[in-house]
Amino acid sequence: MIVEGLVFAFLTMIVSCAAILLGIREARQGKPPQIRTLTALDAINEGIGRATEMGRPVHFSAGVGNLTVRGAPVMIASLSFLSHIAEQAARFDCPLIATVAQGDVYQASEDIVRASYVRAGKADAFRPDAVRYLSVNQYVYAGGIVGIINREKVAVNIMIGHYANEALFIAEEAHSAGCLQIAGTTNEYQIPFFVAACDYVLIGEEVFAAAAQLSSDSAELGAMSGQDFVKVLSIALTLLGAIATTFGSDFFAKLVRM
Amino acid sequence: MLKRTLPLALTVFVGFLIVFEYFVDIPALHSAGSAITGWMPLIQSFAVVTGTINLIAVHGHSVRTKRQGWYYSLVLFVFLAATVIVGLGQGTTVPAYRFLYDKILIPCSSTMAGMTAFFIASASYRAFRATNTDSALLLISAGLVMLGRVPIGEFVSVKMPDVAQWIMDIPSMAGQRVFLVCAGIGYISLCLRTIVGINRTHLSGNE
Repeated sequence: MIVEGLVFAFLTMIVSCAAILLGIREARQGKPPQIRTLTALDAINEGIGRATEMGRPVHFSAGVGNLTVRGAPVMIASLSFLSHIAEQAARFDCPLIATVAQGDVYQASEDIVRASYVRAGKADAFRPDAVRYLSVNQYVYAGGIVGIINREKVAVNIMIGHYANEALFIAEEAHSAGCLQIAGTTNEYQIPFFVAACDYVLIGEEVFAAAAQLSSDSAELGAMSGQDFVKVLSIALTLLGAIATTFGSDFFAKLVRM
Repeated sequence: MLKRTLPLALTVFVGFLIVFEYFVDIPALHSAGSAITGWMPLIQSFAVVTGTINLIAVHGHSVRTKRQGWYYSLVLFVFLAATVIVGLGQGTTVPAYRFLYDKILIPCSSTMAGMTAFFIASASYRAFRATNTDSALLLISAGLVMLGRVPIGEFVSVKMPDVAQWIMDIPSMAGQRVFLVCAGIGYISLCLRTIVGINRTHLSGNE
């Protein structure tokens, strides 16, 4: 019934989901896990405060990914950041500019920013041009952002989402414009560029951990402990596989191809 | 109900269907999965229309209020109108449309892609300052990889290309795999939370 070659992957997914759901249940029963504070999260709040004092806008970019293909999970996590940033910006009366590259992300972003302003009790302060659709073309999108950063004298540039080759272009231009920069992505090829060009970086899974922390929902935090269990399991399987292969056994190689 | 319960129910139904369609060999599931994934471009196309309306509204406001750089918005309107008129009126294979695409969009995009090389140089210059142990390790390993990848590296030592390849194949690859496994677990967790309705960020506009 299970497609040949995907049996192990299917079982791994079932075990992973079970561990994550158990973590969520434990957290809901009053045992939320302790998660270390990520400095990038503190930097976001400090950055919004700094932009408010300077009377300059905060720019948020979700990258070029959309909500339906590869990179969709990090885009959903990115929307959690947008929700938090928009609410903080509304509270401090700090201008926010959120730029998006995909139509579906634009729809979701506009709803989220509007809802965040309502939650902050500043529904009247919401401006329709707070969320701006630029282009699906990555370089047009990057060019549009660079124009906004320079023309509107952005103080803080936050880039969390799915990025490709345009990542460094935006980050370096924002650095030249003197922006405080906080970035995060799960695309392993863009992480080095962000580390080189930005002040704070959320690396890979940290994006999801930070999104869970922002929600302050015990269920979201509980999922993190489930994820840690799956990580330990992955390390154990990798070590066992390496040892078995070294001693000439192909048991684990056959197991993962099952 | 239409704003909250229905989207959540749809998320649960479609989410589980797509996941099981990938793993389970049932033709009916495959047909349903293909139909749903076939709707994605359609939804995306409608979403692009709403995005374009936003683009016109933002840049229209910029022109009306003569904001700094408003003339760039005019350029945008001219090319937006030209692309839509030629594309809808004559199709995307006519010379006029190909000119807009091949002679304007592609060269501009290639120029920006080419500029990345200079941005890499300036970002590397800042990143490669050995201010602590981590950045010193980065500087040394990056220096060895760069030397191994250029002809002068072989003049320094014939072993240099092998050293560069070893750094890429062993420590760098190990780091990348750890990164990918952790990100993959994060993906599973977030997808699960979204499918079962724990994470509702995408619906927060309806709260």
